[in-house]
Amino acid sequence: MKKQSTSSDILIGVGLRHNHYEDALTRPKAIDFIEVHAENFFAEGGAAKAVLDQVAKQYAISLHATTLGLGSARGIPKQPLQKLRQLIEQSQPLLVSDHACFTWSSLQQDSNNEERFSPVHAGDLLPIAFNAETLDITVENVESVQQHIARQLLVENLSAYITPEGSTMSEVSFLTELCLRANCRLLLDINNLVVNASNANSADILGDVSGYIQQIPPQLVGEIHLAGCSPAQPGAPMIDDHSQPVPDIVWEGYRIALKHFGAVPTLVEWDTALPSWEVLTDEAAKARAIAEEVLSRDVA
Amino acid sequence: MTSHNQALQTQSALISAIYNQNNAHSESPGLMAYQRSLAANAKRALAISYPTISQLVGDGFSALSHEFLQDYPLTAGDWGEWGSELPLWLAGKTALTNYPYLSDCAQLDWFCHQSERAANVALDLESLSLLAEQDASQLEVVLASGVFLLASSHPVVDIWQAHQSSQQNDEATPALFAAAAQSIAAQKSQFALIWRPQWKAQVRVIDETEFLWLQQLLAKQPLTTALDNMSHTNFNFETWLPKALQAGLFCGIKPAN
Repeated sequence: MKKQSTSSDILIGVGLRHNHYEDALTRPKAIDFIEVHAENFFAEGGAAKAVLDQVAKQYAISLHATTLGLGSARGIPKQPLQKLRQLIEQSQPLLVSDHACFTWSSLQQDSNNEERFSPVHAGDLLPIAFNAETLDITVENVESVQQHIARQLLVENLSAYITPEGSTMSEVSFLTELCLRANCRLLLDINNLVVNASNANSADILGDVSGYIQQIPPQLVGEIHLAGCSPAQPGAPMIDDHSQPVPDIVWEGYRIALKHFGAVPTLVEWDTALPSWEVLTDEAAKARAIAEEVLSRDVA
Repeated sequence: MTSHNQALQTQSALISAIYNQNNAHSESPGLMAYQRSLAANAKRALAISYPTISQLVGDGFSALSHEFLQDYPLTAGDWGEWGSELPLWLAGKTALTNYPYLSDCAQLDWFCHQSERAANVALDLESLSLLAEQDASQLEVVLASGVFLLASSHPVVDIWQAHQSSQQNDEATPALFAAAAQSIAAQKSQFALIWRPQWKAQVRVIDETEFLWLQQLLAKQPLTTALDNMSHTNFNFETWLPKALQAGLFCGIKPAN
């Protein structure tokens, strides 16, 4: 089943944040695509929109959404869907993605359990239980989104800081089944695998990451995310804050993923405590070097 | 989706526990992480949309954003759209009666935020020829992106300018703060115009006549009607037009709807 790939097939990108807008436009680097958070460009006009227009002239664009909450049991409101569709029409992205999480729900009243402010957005990516009910929900939502935006969606695995009750299947089984039923593909975030294994006090984090990767049918993965995060504070979980260089264990996981999936578009994310444009793009260059090394060996 | 009762309840319970942060210390580390993240995101978003209020309130801004979030949870999904209710919410806070200008300052901040997100409007100088070619009763003035007007009983523009200057570490900041304090002491009222000539929102004080004129234009009154409604004032369209063009406030003429 393994894809036979050549190193020239692989696309390497970086996440673009406000501090790097000017650098991305005036100091182009060897980057194949730029990924932006879709919601940062939901405004009708203004400077951000103009920047995206300019960036799209120089780089292929990947739209990474955080609003949809594809596992939301109460469904996804029309407004963010419409805005995402408009943005897709404007920027003609290479990839469009969101997360296997829920974001939309209703608040319970403390006293009588009545709903208020319906729907409310979590302002974060919240974990879902992995079972037949949530699979049906997520399949239905993904199909609805894909129908609305008239293209295939990539769905990212989450870093979760609590474990919702009611799971009857593993995350990787859930995501595999989701991709097969909804005809979407997986955006595999390797740091999220590391964070989850770390927060579960795994004795063999890389072994867990490798085991997860090996269970995914290679053709289902459409993008890989690489990132680093701050160490866990005492008494708190490790938070995937995208504030650090990609750590060695994630690079090792990337090597395993490349061997299994072949040349999958790969993105380096860095969202907080941003480094210089050079440091960020050097991380992308490192990803490319590793990919070329692994994939050329694979072909040979 | 109504048949998914278990998931609906589970998800509602979790989001409610995250929003309800009153018993945060008794919760699990994971839940506390989500609660901290929500509070930090809300504070960051509100500080971006309300920079003047963030500076005016100072250390109390975390508590303010937390309390506001309890009353107005995020409903649009996009933090950039969250917080429109803050000016009215502040006006209802009896603890803030010593700062009666706070609500109007918030309104000015919000208008600036909205102005910078408004749809782009391109300058169309050729459309000026319509003034000579068509009946003015069938024409409308096209203003720049994101035009808002604010009539305040407080010197909101003076306060806004002092805090803008402070953010940019401008040398004029002490003088602007002194002027704003004087204006507050003198109970000065101001008419504010907010508009966006290019990417950054601009704010300036306008007189009541221009305020009334711009109200007509925002209401999309045909040019003749707008001018007729100004006949009791000393407003002069020929004087206003070149100044508005130079300021990037006027973008063209179009047939009235």
